[in-house]
Amino acid sequence: MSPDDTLRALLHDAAENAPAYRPVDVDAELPITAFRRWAVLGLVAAAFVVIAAGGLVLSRTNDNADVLPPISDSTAPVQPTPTGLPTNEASKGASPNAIRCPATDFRVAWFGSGVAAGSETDYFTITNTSSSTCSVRALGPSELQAVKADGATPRISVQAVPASDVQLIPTRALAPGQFGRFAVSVGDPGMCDAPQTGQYDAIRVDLGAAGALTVDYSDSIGGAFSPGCGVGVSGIGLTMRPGTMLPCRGAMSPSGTLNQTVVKRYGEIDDCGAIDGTWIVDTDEGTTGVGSVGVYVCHWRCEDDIPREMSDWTFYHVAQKKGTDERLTGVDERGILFRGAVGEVHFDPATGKWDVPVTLASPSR
Amino acid sequence: MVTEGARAFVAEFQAARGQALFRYAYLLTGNAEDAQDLVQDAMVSLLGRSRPDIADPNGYVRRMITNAWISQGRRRTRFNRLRPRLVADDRTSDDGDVTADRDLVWRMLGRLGERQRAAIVLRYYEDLSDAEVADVLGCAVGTVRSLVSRGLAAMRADLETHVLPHEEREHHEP
Repeated sequence: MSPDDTLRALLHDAAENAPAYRPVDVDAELPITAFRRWAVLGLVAAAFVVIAAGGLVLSRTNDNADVLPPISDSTAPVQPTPTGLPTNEASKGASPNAIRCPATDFRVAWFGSGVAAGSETDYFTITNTSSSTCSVRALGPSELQAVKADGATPRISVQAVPASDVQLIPTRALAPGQFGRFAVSVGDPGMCDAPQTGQYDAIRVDLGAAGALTVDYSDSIGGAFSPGCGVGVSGIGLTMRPGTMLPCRGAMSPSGTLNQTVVKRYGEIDDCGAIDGTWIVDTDEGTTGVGSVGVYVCHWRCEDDIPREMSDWTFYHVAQKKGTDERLTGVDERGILFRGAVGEVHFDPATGKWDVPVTLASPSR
Repeated sequence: MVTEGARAFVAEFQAARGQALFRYAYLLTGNAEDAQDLVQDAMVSLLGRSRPDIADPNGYVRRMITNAWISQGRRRTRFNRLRPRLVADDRTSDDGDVTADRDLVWRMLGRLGERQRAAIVLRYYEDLSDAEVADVLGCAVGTVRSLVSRGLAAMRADLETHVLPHEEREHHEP
């Protein structure tokens, strides 16, 4: 048998070993995947659908691809902020004392990305570096310009996405030092009939009268982007926090098998849920003598990406001191925050790293 | 709005070609979960077309799967690097030479970049010509030949070390 035939045989054998394909149920109301959002964008360039926790949300339509209306406040109601949390603390509703701050008062940095078939989403952190509470009512990526390598700034078709659709708590103001996030999603050009073309090095986030911020993709993310089936830009919102995070469910729910395994191996569970794109479980010192933190960074939305096996999780000893543990406290600009025996400890989902030395937790069996 | 015609067309198309396209996606991704995502997303796209009854739906869907796989590559690489966990291997395992051969296939394919891997799978699994592979990948025929050649070179050591001697032994055994 020639090498070519051998390779063919090996590939066919491997393919034959694939499990059965699960067809899309064409008769049911289809799950609205991230991809579908972009497919619709590409097809009609006017209206699109987005995932919402409870179902379908229709955005405004936009017949003019060059002009995007600002995100309406009515689509982004301010939600009450849990109290007593030390981080990202200053979301106080409408913030009547907020002022319009210049662009130089904000700092924008790439935070991380998620991938789903058909779309890629990058999350950015925007921090108010001023000593004033800054309004973000008129601020935000309600308009986007692509920046070419030569500095040209052609308008590209964009759609506004409510912050709540990307798991952010909509906000109208950022307090001094407070950060918000926004998301930029790009649909895969291979997934639509009429993709937009062009490679761009940066996007410009319009801040209304305050000016504009330029987010450099080539430096921050390591590559240019193509608008593909369309670009969606979310409003600015605050990250989820312990009081609002998704609780663990399925196998990791309190009655689940995985939950019991964690308790047996690592200790009683103090906190368990999804926060800032990461599933977190932290335990008391239990039988290991030191508290453990298990993490699983979601590929996409944590609602749809639930770790089901113990091997999905990575457990760390963060405290490293007998009889102590770390508790999930919130999220700040440096990552997911824990507090305990070693003070403040951050886990950065974008890098998968801790800001203190940690060790992989060895379970006691 | 999904039309009844689209639902019927996609249902029939999935029944006829779903498993074959899934196997193709499985070879690209190396795991069933990602392969399901690729194929299902492509099917949903087909469902969303105003006229899904295109002339070559198999080629259309295969192209979508391939493009999605390739375009996700850069971000996938980075994102996987960021994930502080081991990915569960959902490939079925059994014993003996069969498992060894399958491990070898995945190891060889794992040496390839997205476009190389797609080119190899299209050429040697889907049995497409260079021109047809070029059409799927949206590149020149010369580029396909280069991708295949370099892909084969990357896999050759494994192929010659682990497979061909074994076959030769079998061939010469009485």
